[in-house]
Amino acid sequence: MKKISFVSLFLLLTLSFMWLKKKDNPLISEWTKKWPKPTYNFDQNPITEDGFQLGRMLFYDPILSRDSTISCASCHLQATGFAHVDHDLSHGIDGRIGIRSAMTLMNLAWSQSFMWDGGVINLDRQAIAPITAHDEMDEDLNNVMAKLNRSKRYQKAFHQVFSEEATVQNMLFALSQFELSLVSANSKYDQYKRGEKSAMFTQQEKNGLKLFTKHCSSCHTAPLFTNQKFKNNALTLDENLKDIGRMKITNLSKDSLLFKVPTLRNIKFTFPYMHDGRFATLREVMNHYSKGIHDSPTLSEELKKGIKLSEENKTDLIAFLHTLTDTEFLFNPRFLYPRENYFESSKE
Amino acid sequence: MPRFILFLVLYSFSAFSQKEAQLHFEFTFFDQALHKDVWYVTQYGDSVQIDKFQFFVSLPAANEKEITLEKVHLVDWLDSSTYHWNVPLNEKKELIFTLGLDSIYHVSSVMEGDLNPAKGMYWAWQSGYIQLKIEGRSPSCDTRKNKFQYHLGGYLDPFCVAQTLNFGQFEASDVKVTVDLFTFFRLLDIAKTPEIMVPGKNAVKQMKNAGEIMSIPSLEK
Repeated sequence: MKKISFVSLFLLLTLSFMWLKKKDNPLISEWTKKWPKPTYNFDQNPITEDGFQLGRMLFYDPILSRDSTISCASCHLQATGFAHVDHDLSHGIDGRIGIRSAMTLMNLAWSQSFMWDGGVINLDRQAIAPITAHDEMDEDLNNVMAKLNRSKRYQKAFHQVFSEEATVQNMLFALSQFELSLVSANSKYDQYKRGEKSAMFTQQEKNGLKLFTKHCSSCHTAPLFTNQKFKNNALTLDENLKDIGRMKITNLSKDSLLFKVPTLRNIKFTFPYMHDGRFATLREVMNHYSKGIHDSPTLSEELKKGIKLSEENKTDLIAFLHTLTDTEFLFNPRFLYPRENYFESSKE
Repeated sequence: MPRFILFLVLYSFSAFSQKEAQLHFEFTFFDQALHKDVWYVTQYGDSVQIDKFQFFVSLPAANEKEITLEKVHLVDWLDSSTYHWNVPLNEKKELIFTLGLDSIYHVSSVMEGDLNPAKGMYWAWQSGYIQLKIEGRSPSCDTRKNKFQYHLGGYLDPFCVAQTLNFGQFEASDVKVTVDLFTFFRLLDIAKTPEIMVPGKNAVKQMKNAGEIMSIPSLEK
């Protein structure tokens, strides 16, 4: 008798362990387990392979824009950290130009807010903005749903993932599943931090890390390389754009000219820099922080005196920033344009 | 005996469900019914026609899990099928609900039913629903096509617009709720402020005023 209860207890434990294991978040790996807890609520929208693939299909499909010319990927290219390479301001359909540079997409499960002004709090609600914005995809959500539900491929995919036709809710859930999966945690810096033998820092990179820790990390805090706050980082106001940043959302003058502190992961490839893409190179960014400080009432405390950097310091810092490049992420075939979908369908 | 227990259980359930008020919204402009393409005169002396009038009513939810689609209702003056809403009374049998939507509704992942952003009540450039929308025309407005537009919303402190409405203890289950737009325009100089389209001081002020547009005639003594 005792043996039986022992065995059943053991079984129960194994089963519950398996159940727990099953509920494990696929984004939490050896690489990210020491990171802060993700902010995204996975209970509502757990990531599945089919859901991820549907999200990937949507992400690369211009069907989301009014004239079916641009997709999310038009401004968010994988090889450049999902930023819009070489475009200071992003453009939408009919060549319309927006007022800000496309943000990078990575480690979004840990993000507390979205957009340069933090106007969107929940990743699930983020995609509504580019889909409906006049200067971006300029499309109506009801039209998107009509188009998706007319397509045999999407009908099949939505039923497979959500057991129902495409709705605004489940389309956004699918997009989130793809975007959440864009985790970058295997740069040379990460490997160095984990003590992997293959990743040795050069003296220059070590110097850069030291300078970074001293001057930059209070805002660009590891491991996400952002403290998720909003700051006025001493830029002059662009008289054409007149972008007041965070104040547009909060209507509070203390938030005038504040923008979200962006992550620096893969920074080598996410040029041009700043919310309006005004700096083409990292060297220009260094020059800005060392001698380009523009004072204004909301200027970030940390920048009041500027950051003293010699030319050599700048070179060291840039060398360190390059260690934040995660080639595995930038070239991961799972995040690429889903060619296979379209080849399959042309055979049909 | 088991039947008796079943009866008791069913009876207690029905007793629970009786603690609910069935609201029926009616639209007026002072003492007249509100119709499309009809001119009305505000207290300021402005002539107005109403083209659109929609608002959210809701019940509080402490967290995302507590959000159910029954707790939220979008009333659209142009669609009479939206004129009814069933609200559970609280333990004290009081009728309390929110005009607008509390913060949690704006940031949660629930976007079905009346919370569907495709319903024209969602601001995309920021998280957040327009909680009350009135559009119309008036010769007093020096704007394109003499239009006035009030998209009242905002869920971040200090510019939250949602208003808690407390109608006190309640007996009747069928309740007529009069929604009077004369009251909405009472303190509003539409020539000076023909548009409120973003969260802020103006939206809060106007929504506070809008908190008084609803009354329950059967409660008035």
